[in-house]
Amino acid sequence: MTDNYVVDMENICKYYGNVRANDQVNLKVKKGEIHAIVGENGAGKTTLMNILYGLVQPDFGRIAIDGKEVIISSPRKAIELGIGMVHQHFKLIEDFTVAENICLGNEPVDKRGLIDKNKMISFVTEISKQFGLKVEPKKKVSSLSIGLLQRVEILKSLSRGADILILDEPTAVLTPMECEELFETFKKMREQGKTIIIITHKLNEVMAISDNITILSKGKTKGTLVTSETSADEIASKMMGENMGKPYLERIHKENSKPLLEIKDLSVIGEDNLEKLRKVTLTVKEGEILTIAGVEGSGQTELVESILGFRKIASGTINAEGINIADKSVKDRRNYCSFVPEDRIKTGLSVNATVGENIIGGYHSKGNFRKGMFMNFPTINKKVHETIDRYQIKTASQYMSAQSLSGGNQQKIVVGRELEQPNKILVIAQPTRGVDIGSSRFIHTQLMSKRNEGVGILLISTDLDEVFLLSDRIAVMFEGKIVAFLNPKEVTHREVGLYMTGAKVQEELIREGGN
Amino acid sequence: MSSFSIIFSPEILAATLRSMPPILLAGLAGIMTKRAGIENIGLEGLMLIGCFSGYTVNYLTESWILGILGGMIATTLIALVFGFFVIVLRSNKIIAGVAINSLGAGLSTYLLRMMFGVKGSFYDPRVQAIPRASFSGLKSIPLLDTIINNQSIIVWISIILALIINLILFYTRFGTYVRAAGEDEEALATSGINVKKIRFITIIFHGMLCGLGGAYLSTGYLTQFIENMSAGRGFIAMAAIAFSGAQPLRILGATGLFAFVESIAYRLQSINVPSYFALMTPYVVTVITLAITSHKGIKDKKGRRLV
Amino acid sequence: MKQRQVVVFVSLLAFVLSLLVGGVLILINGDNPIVAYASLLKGAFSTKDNVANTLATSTQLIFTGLSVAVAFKNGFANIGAEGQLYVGAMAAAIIGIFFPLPGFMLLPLALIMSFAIGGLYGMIPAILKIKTGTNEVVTTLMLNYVAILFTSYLVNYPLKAPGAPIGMTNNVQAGAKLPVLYHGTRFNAGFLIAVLAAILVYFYFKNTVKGYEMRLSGQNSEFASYLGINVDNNIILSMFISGGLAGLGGAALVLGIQYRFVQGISPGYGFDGLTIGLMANFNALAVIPFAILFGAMRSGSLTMELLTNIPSELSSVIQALVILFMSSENSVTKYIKDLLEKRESIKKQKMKMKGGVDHV
Repeated sequence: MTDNYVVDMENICKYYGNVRANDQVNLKVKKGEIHAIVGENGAGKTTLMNILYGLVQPDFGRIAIDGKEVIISSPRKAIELGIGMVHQHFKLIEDFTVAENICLGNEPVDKRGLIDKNKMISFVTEISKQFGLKVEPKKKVSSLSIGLLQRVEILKSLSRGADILILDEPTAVLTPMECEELFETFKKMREQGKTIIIITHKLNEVMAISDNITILSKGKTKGTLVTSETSADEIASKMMGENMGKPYLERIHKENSKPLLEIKDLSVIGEDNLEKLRKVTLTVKEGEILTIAGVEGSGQTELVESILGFRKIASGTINAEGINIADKSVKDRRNYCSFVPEDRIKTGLSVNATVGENIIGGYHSKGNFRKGMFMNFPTINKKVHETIDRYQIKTASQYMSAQSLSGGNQQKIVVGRELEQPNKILVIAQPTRGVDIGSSRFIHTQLMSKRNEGVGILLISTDLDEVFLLSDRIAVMFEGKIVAFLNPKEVTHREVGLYMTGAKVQEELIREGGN
Repeated sequence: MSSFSIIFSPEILAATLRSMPPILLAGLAGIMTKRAGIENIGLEGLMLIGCFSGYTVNYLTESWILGILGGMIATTLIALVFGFFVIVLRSNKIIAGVAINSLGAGLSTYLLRMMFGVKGSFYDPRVQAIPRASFSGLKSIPLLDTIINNQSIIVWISIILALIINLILFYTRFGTYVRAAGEDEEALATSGINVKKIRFITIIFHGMLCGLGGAYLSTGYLTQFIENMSAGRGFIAMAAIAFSGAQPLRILGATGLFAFVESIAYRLQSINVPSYFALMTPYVVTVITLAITSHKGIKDKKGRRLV
Repeated sequence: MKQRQVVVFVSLLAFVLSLLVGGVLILINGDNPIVAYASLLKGAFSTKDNVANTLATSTQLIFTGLSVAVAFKNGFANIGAEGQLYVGAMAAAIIGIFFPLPGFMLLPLALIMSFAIGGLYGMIPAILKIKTGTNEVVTTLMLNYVAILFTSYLVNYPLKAPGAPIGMTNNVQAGAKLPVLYHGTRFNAGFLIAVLAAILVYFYFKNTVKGYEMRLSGQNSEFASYLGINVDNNIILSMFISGGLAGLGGAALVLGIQYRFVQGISPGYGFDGLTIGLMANFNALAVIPFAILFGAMRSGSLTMELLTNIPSELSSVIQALVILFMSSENSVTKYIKDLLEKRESIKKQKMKMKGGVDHV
């Protein structure tokens, strides 16, 4: 029965504390197919693949590879079984070269027992030719683009003779062009008889590339479908249990809306003495969402950090509600701007502090929340309770540590805290990255309603679906410059993609930019 | 005698070579663990274990070579305790390192009193000193004769070990894995390498080097055991590691410099000039050097500079 | 709440395990561990004098424990309490010996200066870290030796008492001495100051805006700076307080116990402070009982040595073991918590699927 399948996982269970990451999960993959595993964030996809790769040991369950029951006790064992894995966050050693990374654990040695660097480089050149994936073996990994890093990871797996290749969210950080290239690679590998398992939550990709689909939800298997016999809608409804429409609140147009955040000719020089931002000029008005779209690393981080005061600017002005804030402290700037950082769990809250302490952060020193040098607990507690209620944060009490909450609820703490502050400007980066669909919808709706209350929102997003859903205007950033202002109703995803990769620019912006 | 001729005499250079091995060996030990991502600040404590056990085994067996081996084995056992806590239990490295320092000091004095019933120091004429080496060809050149001849063999062994460890770290598979474990242990683990195993082997090297340094102190540099006789050399070794950027070849230079300063300090003391400032030098130099050289530390991984 | 119980359990476990390993060492020595520990307890607590002496030793330990707690709570790994204690002690000695002031001004001045000098010394690694990114573990550790050697120079040369056999200063003036609380012992008013300091530090972190900011900075400095909290200033301030508290420990030693500065005045109280701070989980009030516990070990071990054959150094071995076991506190706590919760999950699961194969 099992010999049809190259991978057969049965009844896999894995618990972390009282969280059931995998609960009786089944996965059957045929040889030479592209198999997609889909599910929301936290559905248990990555845990399942870490089990298959030997990084995590299951609490129960059977695994058979090529029909033989195995216990995969370590990545080494997985590699021996012909399994390779490309993680979402690449596992490469930045200080090592491409060749050193690809050969890590397999270095060729000479007679004296020393590593043979020439042999290593010729080996990498050879396999790079064999699979048609070009790399420069002598380059340090820290200098490579994300697309290239991924290529190095894939080559690393293939060089160990992987027949089954697992890729965790391979397209999350790629540009539309890089994605197309990657899919071509997948097809080529399939022709060579390799089996590919991709973890993803992007349904259009699943439909485009996969042969079969396994759906996970809340740690359980919700079935396996043949791609050609199903539709994105069917998958979505299986993933979420119900079919939900898109959130949408119509924008309330106001005539003569005031500019809230005005950035003019902002330039930033990085530590490497390269220009990270080049004469960026943009305005966020009352009651609008302006989105910065762009490939990761195009200058979005620098822009956000300049606005909030974490980064020195070389030239230019930043006005908030008509006041120049470019020389003010972070604390003063926060009186104008609310801010939701990109990596919320890491930098948006303190997991060791209580829920209440996290909710009050930022107001704690303002107005009624302090009495001289002391905290004013009655007022603080009132605010904390209001926020917990309004943002439906599920916690036993405000005195629980934030650590004990689920990821989604931690997100709500951050978003709640920032949206509750009486500021007219909101800077929010990747608001739904790593957030489950339910919470995403909640956050999107909150953003729209804030906009309709007159808040000016600067949204940073690399997710084009989100960009199109939320934006009133799109500013596309490429290599530290704004290369286009677009109306989302008048352009397509593909067009935005062209601007994002520098294939197209609005000439008048570049000329004005002084280049 | 003018102070200049005190400082730049061949005797001082000979004394420098003589006092180099403990700092160098502990420094190399520290480089290994630092590179593997399990930095141990308990070098001082490990060396004390090496001093005591090296002297004791030598006393019991009347053999310098068994003494050294005993010192290395005992120190490695304590180092493995550190390894167990840090590698398996994922302890806080700094705190575990502080514990090893206290443990080394406490255990060596406790055992001294328990086994020999004495306090402060222990000396027995039966203990064999580690042999010294002389090169007859140099006898005719007085300067080199003073500096190089009649030095303990450990002086030369420790310098050779620095070269060997450099070779291991940068030119062998094992060394590559050690560095990879320190840079990004997950990347190493997903490449199919057992990170714990690599780190435990590193710890064994680490313990043996510290043990050798300790045994040299009590049966080579001196031939007696004195409570806390490592006298801060473990910390000077840490200073040397920081000073050299954890490079085995550069630490040769750093330890040479610090040993030179130490020799001057003792020389000054012997002619009743306050030596405290000279003794302070390695620490002060390290703090200042770190302050100057680690300015790149101000940036976080993304290369961001906080305003 | 469950979390807190596990933390307490792990701390006690560390202590008990250390006593057990110490017991093995006693057995090797040919003694009975129970008798030995009983004599240790007896030495620490059996008479009023013993209790007073235990508390006298604890005084310094409360200060260094608080010093460690303040720094670590703000995320700064200060291993330099020993050095800060030395410079504070020296400041207290210099004021106490040389300033021609009446007692009601002399004692407060000596205390304030020891706090200030200890604090300024503590600020050096903080400033270096902020301005140049220098690792504070190395700098605080190095600065310990700079302080010990520098004070040794002072007491051996310019400040040496005439005719003294070892490096030590003259006695401080009578007015600079901390009043003795229990006659015939060195139990002095420094203990009350230490307890007061612990209470102040506790409320500082719990109730003040700055204390809250420091805690957040310590837990997640990037988050704190995103909130507009000036993390750098907080580190400098907290290291001033931390160094100052250690400095007060030095003052308590000079003005309450020795009445002069003797070369190598502290037998490692600064490092003990690290153990105490850790066991107290950096909670200022919890520092007090743990400081008394370690004070008892220090004062009781001398009695143990008299009554049995066991060298008093045993207490430092046990203490080192406590630090070692405590170093794994966080990971072990998490492990135990996960294990308890997981056992529940697995139990439920097993009942649900009787046919399940146990994989591990």
